[in-house]
Amino acid sequence: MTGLLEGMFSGGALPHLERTLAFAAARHLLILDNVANADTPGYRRKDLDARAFEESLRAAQRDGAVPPRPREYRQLRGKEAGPSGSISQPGVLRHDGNDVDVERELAILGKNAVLHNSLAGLLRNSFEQIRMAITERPT
Amino acid sequence: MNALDISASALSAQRTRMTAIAGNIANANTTRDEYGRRIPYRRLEVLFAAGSEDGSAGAAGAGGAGGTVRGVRVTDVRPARDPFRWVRDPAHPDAVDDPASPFHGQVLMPRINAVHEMVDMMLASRAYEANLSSMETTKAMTAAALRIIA
Repeated sequence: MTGLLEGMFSGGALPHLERTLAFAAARHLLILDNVANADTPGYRRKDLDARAFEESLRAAQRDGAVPPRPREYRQLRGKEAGPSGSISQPGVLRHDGNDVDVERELAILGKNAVLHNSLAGLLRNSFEQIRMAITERPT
Repeated sequence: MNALDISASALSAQRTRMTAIAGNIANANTTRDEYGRRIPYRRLEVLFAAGSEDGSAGAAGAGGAGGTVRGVRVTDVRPARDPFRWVRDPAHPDAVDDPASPFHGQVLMPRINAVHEMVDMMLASRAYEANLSSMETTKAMTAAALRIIA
């Protein structure tokens, strides 16, 4: 019985959808923090390594494994995350050591939200299909 | 700290900044302090720092890897140390009335730059809106996540 249930929820694209959704949710928090600290002197933006996550997702799909959990995402800060705005350099306006560009952060936030919401929709459809198969009638 | 708390901390911080700016503009010509002494108003500055209100390190965000998300907090609202300015206005009740003084007929005024305050207000307003719209995004995401099981 356990095996049946496990197979129902760990097969197909479900684990990948779930982990990517978790990634988008975790990234959302960091981008929110960047927007909240857009006026904080000395604040350097934070981000998650989307490329590294995509790599591990691809590797997991290839090997039939499950992608990493949120706890295993690498957080980028400072130089690693890369500035979205410009920081103190000759001929640059800002001199408070903050490298957040609100407009770019909001663009990242929007893109990430679209990813999150479409993944949520896909997950919903997957569960709906399982439900349909169980009840043997379309809902 | 959850997603809405982060945005809320920024909304609160920006509103505090807005209040300080409004007070600065309102007191642009205030020549006495709250005790009636002849000390002009000093403009208030609001200082921000990354971190939660209670000063804790913040929840280890789902970001993991020891990373935290904490929002923003107001660390201090302090009077600026700008010098006051002398304005010639002999009819002013607080003008120096002493012919021997080099400041005879002048009155000590706060150093408030209206342009500076207005620009700061626009920045605070824009930052407020940015956080408000990210709050809307958070709500849409939460609703989408809830629909997975509904």
